[in-house]
Amino acid sequence: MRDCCGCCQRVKPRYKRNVDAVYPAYPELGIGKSSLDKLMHYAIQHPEKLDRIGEYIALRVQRDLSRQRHEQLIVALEILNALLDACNSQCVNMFVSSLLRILEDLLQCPNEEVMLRATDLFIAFSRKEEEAPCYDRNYRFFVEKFSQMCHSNNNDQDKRNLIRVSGIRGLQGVVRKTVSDNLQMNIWDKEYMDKIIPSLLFNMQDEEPSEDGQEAGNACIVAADVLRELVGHTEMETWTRAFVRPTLMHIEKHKLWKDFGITWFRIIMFSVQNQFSYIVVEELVGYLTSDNVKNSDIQLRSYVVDVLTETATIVAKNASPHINTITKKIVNCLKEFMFMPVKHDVDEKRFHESIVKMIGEFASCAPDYQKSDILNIIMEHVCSAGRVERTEIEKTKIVQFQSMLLKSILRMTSNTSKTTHIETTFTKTFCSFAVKLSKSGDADIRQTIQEIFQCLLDRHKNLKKIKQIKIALDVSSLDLVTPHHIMKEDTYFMKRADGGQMLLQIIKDGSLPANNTVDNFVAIYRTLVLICLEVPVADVFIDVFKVGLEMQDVALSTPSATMFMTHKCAIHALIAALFNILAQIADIEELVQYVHGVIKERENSLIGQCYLPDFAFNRLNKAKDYPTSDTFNEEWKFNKGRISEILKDCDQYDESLLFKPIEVPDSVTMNDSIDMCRSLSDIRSLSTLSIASTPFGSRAPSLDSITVDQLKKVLVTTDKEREIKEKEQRKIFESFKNDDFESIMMRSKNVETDDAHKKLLDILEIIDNAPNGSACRKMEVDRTRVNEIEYPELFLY
Amino acid sequence: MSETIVYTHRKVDKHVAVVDMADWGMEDYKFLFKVVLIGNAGVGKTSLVKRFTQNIFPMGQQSTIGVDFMIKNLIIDGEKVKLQIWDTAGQERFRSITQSYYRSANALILVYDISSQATFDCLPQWLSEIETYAGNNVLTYLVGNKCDKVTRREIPREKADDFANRHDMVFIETSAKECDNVDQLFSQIAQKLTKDANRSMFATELPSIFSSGSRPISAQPLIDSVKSRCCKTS
Repeated sequence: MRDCCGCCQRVKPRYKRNVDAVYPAYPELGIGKSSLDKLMHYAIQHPEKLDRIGEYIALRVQRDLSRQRHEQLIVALEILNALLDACNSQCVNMFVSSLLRILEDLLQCPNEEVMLRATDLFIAFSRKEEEAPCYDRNYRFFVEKFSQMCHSNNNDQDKRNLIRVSGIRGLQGVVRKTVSDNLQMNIWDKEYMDKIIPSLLFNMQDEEPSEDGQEAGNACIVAADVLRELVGHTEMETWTRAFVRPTLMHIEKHKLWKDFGITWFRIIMFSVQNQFSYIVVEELVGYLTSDNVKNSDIQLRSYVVDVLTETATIVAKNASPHINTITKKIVNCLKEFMFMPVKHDVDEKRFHESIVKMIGEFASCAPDYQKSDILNIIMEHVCSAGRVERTEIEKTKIVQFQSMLLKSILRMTSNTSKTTHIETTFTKTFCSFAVKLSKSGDADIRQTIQEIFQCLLDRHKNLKKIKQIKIALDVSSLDLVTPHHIMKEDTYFMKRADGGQMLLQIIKDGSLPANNTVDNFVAIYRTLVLICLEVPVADVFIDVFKVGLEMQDVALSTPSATMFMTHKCAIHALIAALFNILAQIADIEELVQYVHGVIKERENSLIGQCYLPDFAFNRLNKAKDYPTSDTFNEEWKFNKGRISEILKDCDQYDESLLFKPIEVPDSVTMNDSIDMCRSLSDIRSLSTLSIASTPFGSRAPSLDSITVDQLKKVLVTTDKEREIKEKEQRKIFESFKNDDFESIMMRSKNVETDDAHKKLLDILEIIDNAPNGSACRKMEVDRTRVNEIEYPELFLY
Repeated sequence: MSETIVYTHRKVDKHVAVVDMADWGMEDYKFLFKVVLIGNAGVGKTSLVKRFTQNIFPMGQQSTIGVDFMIKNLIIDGEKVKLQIWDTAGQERFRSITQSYYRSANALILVYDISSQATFDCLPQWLSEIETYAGNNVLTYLVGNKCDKVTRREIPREKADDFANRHDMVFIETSAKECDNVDQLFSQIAQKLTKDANRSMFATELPSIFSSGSRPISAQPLIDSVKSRCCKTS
């Protein structure tokens, strides 16, 4: 047999001879340099032989493996390495399949050195660029093996670190080879991500970056780098989700939310492409609301919220267009938690507050133009939450939810850089939401709304200076700042019916509810003062005077049976304080004198003192301290006539405005007609709108002339009367909605048609030339005719 | 130099002639099977693997981190079979990575400790994990390890046997320390898998998933190509 082989030597192909020559006769001799060069030369000259060379080396490797001749294996690795270096990107394809097979075999070798060298070769291969696409590659084993290496259990500390780093780099190689080429396996598959991500994270958690983090061989640092690289490669939504999920799993299993949650998610957020960063937040929210986390202890959840805060803030800072989606998700998440059956009340509340804090935090980082969007989204949620009411418990929860959300807005607005134009901040939608909410039955919500107004209005940091209601006879001691330059837009906003006027109306109405607390009144005072400070123009002053006087009228005309004495005192006192400041800001000496005169009058009487802030806003008061009767002297009252007279003497003041009622769009007075909150319960608003647009039938009562009497009426009218009215309105609405056209026509015939209508009919008659008939029929006929009219060709396309 | 040639020739021969295993090693395995060991921490998974692959029983074995990997070559009915053994960590915190290894497994070995009721009680939990993460028709073995601890036995053999029957598993009791049943366990698995693989290969006339294993290119074409080229050259 041996002889036979001997004669085969001559016919052995050249590539085999070349390869064999590189292997040393004795391992101690080391690799034959010149033979290696010869082989390289041969390979470059005959690239078509590369596949055979590869296969032959594979054969030898298998044999050496089974005999455990590790030195020979290393030689094979060196040859392969040199071959990889030598051949260009076109022909490397030729021997890749055998190379990968060899590597697979070598990686299974228990010998550590061989394993490490094989990994190095794989990494070198991963750096090699290939031109030809390759469909049949499968790196599954490499992922499995490298992941296992990342978890090396070697007793020797140094060796362990070496193997782990090697494993991480191997994974990096797989990632590098696969992310760029979709034809190969999909690295983002769950099967691979579930191995790669935990392996990287495990190494990142294992050691703190010690020795100044300079060491390139530090597993922790290398792993972090690889993670960054991997995350940076995501080019699709699904890919992003693919790596976030195992990350969450790993953190949960290893209980690392506290120590690494924020750090790791920061790495992810800063590496992931901007347009996908929102997905990370979405996944986090999804995780937070997933069943097992939702029911886990508060501690874990608050850690997740911390991470969420961090990530959402980063998204907001990047001005991601998806910030609205995120806001919605987080608000829904808060809702979900709030409606959960509560176990530990206090902790749960604190947790809710942390979510609120998060919303405020990230929203305040968003650019200004997105802030108003966020504001509206949250407002919408607040409003729509109240729509569905079921049990009592749910009702209270809804109120809680609403006030929570408002607090988040408050947080956001108070963190925000100041408003530049009032108009852009108080958008129409925002105002309409505000109207809706200011009618809320909950005092806390109303107060929060006012506080939001204050935050948005306060551009000159005056809010702190007017925290307490006090009568400062010399306002300059408060050191209030007014703008140097009054912006036209602001003045215009204050005049607008759906802008400043509506705001004033809201504030005025805010003094009425019976469950108002001291804080509500203080808030009213602050908001009014801020309006005057921010837009110190004559018209605004007059408006505020008007609001004050109307509030005074209401307080005076309402019997104490319907309005608490405490409220009356508070209203009078806040008006006194308001007018005091107002007169001084307006800088009208006579008015100041007058206001001071009235205040002095009150001071002089024991009962009169009750109508001053020092008493009315003293929280230590007891019920018996308040006056029992409605006695209110004429001298204590701010007289509308007197004020208008004083204003008349000043040039720029148009005192007649004082007698004109506040002009507001229907939505404010007619309760709930907010577009966003349409529902069946809002039928009233629908009816008024539809009636107003119908030429027939009764129009909605004109709102032009709201007088004190009317307001009084509203207060005094009992529920029954209101109900009857409502019924009537509904009847009209339904008749228009359900009846057929004919019957409506019949009805309308009785109503006298106006001139315009007649004219229109006349014209129609002339055009139509039809025999006489009922007007409406002609209208119908005419409508059908329009379709049949033959247009000149020019108009046809 | 001449040595190499001899081997090359014999390699070609082995398809027609009897293979001398001692000389040839396992390089051209016919089948590659992945076996994954699972079970609670400290039931002796690593010890079983070490006993089987290296025939050692290290005292004071540290708990596994993540996963460990071993290779063992066997000859089953004249076929060369390679077992890739993935030894997973039992600790709960590594569950996320260990689960990802179930999927591609051909056989799962679910290990418990016969001297610990707690490890036995966890079995249903493990079964549900297998259900979720492993392939559909994975061969599952239930192994009661540490059967050398006769005096401290907590789980009677019948009970475990019953449990295994109910859940369609094969039951065997082993002792890594005393080397009881360890080789039997693995060779039984290899035998079953080989039988299945042969049958499915026969049935479909196509290389089954077993034969390709994790390899991009199965061992079969390699041999053929070598053979054909050799014929050409000689």
